[in-house]
Amino acid sequence: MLRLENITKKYGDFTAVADIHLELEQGVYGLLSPNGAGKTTLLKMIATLMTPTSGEIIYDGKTIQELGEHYRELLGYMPQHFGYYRDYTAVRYLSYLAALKGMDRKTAASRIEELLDMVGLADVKRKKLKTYSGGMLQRVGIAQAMLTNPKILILDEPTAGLDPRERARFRELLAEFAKDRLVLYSTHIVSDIENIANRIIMLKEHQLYCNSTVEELCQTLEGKIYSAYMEEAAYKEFAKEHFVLSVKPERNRVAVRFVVEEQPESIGEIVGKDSKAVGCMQEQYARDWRLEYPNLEDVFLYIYREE
Amino acid sequence: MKIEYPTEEEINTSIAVSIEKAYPNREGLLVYLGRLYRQIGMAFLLHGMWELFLLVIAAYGFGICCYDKLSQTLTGNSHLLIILVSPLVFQSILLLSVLREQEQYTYEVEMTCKYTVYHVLALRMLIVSGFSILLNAIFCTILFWENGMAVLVRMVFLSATAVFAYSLFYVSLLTKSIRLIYQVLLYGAWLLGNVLFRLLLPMVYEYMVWRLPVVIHVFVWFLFAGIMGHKLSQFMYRNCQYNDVRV
Repeated sequence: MLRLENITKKYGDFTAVADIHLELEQGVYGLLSPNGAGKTTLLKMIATLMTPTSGEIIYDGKTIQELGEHYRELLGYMPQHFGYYRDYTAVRYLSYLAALKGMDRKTAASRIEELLDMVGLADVKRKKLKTYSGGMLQRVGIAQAMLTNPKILILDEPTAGLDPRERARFRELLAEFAKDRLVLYSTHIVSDIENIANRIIMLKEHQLYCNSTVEELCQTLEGKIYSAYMEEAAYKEFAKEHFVLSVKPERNRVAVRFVVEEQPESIGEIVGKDSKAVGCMQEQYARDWRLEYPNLEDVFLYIYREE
Repeated sequence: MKIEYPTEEEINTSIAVSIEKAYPNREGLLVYLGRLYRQIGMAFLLHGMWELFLLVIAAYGFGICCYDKLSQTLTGNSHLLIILVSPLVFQSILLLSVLREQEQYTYEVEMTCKYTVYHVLALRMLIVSGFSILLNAIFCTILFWENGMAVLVRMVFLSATAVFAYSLFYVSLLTKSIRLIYQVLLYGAWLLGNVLFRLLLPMVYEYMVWRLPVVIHVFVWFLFAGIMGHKLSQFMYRNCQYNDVRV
């Protein structure tokens, strides 16, 4: 459907995106990487907002330059920093964009009503955008991207500013919308995409690091993720030698989730008597040790541990 | 092996692309802009610009009311005023509209729509050109009515040519960048260029403005209008394809 052939974007000597080759079919693709890895640049090139320094983006066998407005007709885009006209109401703003998107007025009017209802803004649709909260504006942004029922939907950090309830609602909306469509969803909030993305694309050092399913990614860490309870002093020693994924203070101890590269033979190898931390450890904590099933956040933290 | 039959939408897109490749841009500029106008509508096209239009009309009204004083001050320089003012109307309206859009940072979404900022700007330019030419024609009629029809026609075409000449520079600039500062600099250069021309080569300037047959003024106007149409068309089609947003 959409093919990125060796896409590179340079700004002088700085390479923002290097030699990316991707083939994207229908489904939700989560674009995951820390800030500054090139996600937004890549999305902007797919959204026709930027020209690659080299390489081509091909949709159904034709470059998107060739397709021009026919390609943009298939596109829905929500930028990271969503601009809006402060004096417009949500209905007026969406009507304006519907006109630019080439929709006829009647279809646009009913679609706008439908979308505002879906994103929970039907009650405030006649209020000016300048009175909206950040989360409400974000929802207007989501609605505008979905206006034409686009074949390709590009979302750059769409849940920034949404509260957990709104994020859950958005995931629901997207899951429904994504049928028969290509959705590119950029974020650094792992939980946003863990359950809805068919594939995860990761960029590292401005290059494509992987394009895999959540399951495939989690498998790479299977048998390597453990958790244990330790005293704080013991944890400090422990953290120097192991890659810690998360720490949760609990009364007079901490719950630690960490990665062990080599499969340990026993708990003693990790947090027991052979460890440097042993002197600080109490026997009771060793009993709490257990092997964990890796999740996408573990994978994300592990892959980008040096950044 | 099962090959899926393309959807109706994919078939239509393919047909549209093939037709456009075989018969590129067959639709004339005015027809295209007319379609665009019907699609977008005046309200969205000039959104936030009504105040500016009213302001400009008020400024002209003020100028007309002060006609007596103006004609005394302008003795011998009225043509220069026309050449400087007519593009100023065009530039101020467009400049403030671009400023407004830049402030709101709406380009990113608008540039990914079927009709981009460039399409809208092209249509706006045409409408604002027409508006400033009309306003100048009224202004000239009031100012030069007593000087006879020949002077009046000369002045009207002079102001219209100035608008198109200026808009040619403007379109060329927009093809490179829509940064606000460049637009201000462009008008500064126009102002300075004309004043210097008037001061340094008064004879040539005088000849071009007053002595050239009116028919040449009319011809030049048509020539500029034609070039303007061509440039506008290039501007739209060039930028509607895969371009960096340069604000």
